[in-house]
Amino acid sequence: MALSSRGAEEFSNPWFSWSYITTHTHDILAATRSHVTLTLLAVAIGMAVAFPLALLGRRARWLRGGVLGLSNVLYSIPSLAAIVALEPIFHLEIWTVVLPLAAYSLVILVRNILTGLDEVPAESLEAARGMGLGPLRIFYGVELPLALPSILAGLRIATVSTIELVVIGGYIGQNGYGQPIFEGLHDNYRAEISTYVLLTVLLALVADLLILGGQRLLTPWRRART
Amino acid sequence: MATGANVSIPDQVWQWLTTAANYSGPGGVPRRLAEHAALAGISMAIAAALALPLGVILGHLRRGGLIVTSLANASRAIPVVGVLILLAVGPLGIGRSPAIVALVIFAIPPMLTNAFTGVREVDEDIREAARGMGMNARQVLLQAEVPLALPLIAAGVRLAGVQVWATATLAALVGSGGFGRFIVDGYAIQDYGQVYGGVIYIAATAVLLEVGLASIEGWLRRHSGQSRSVTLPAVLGPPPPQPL
Repeated sequence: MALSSRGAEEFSNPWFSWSYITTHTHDILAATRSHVTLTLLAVAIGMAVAFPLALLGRRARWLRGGVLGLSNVLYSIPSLAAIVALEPIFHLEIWTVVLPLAAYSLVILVRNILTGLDEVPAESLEAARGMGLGPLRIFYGVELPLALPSILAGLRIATVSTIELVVIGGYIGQNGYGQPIFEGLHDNYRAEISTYVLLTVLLALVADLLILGGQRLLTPWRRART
Repeated sequence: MATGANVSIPDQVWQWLTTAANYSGPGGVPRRLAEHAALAGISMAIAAALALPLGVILGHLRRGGLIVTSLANASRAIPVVGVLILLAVGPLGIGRSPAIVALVIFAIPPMLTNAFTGVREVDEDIREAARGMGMNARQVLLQAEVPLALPLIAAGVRLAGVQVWATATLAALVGSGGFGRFIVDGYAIQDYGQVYGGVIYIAATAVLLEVGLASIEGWLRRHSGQSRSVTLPAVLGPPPPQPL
């Protein structure tokens, strides 16, 4: 834990320092860009794979059990293990972090898409069929909108968890908030660590609120009820 | 590949897994397993001792729902690794103590939520009947509410246990022992046989733990006089497992 030459403040090693933030604005913005990009990519890939998987899981009971069982096993592998395991394959490419995190968000999303579609009331489907709608229009016009709250709840959890897990990528030198946190551990630099931990929490809260706002815009019929 | 020898990674993993020396001494698999189990066990014991009584009592009083849910939500937004590293550069220093404190902090919410929900959701008619039989508040709690909440409490313990087992891997980042050491030490010297060997042991033990705890939970459910499983209210939903 050698002290590096970062000025007099280093020796008092405060838990928080405004001057750290003001002198590192450029680094903070760059780290935020990377953190957001990695999160968006992971969640987007997770969503793109989760939808067809969930639809597949709806076809048959055994498929559903298989999809959910496999995802449980996937979940028990710690992210540190998954990320370090992919390092010799992708090295510093973003996929080292994006692929495992996409897999974790996939698990949450599949679960919530299935739950959401299951909870669509039978009467709504009956009514849609009675109106003469075809299966595709029923899916996009009735099932999907009614499943939306559950899907978006899953999206919130997946996004917040992914923001947390991108931090682990810093261990193998991936950009984002994690890298300075591990650097701070190495240099015993408290202000650096606390700044980026706080930024991670802040980013998670902002993302959560954004999706919540989107949900309120997309499902106006639920607002009247609550 | 980066390793000096011209051995493919699967061969390196096989070699590491089948080398007798990796199964003895302070860096061997049995010792690392014992360290991992000690970390997870101590943390779980402390967290359960704090969370279960508190959850059960709050559920009995039907108070503090907001605090319990906020705690669960907040813990999801806070990065475990960040807390672990903050603790390690703080007064606790490098080693086992920051790891145990971080594991305890993150094991509390699932157990607290489930104990609280399980007891709170016990049917009012059942409480009424228990009181009608002349039970005092303590007896209602211990003889009616807790037994009925047991399946849900067990689910919370399983969730926290699996999570703690996986998160204990991170303890190696702050100089503690456990299976995480294979990943951290292997990565430091680019020994991928050791890294993947470690990953295999972590994943295998985690899955075993999940299956073992799930079967205990199933047994409890069958023997707690409840034929149907207790369902969580829709607002809480099935507690989603947290990736670590």
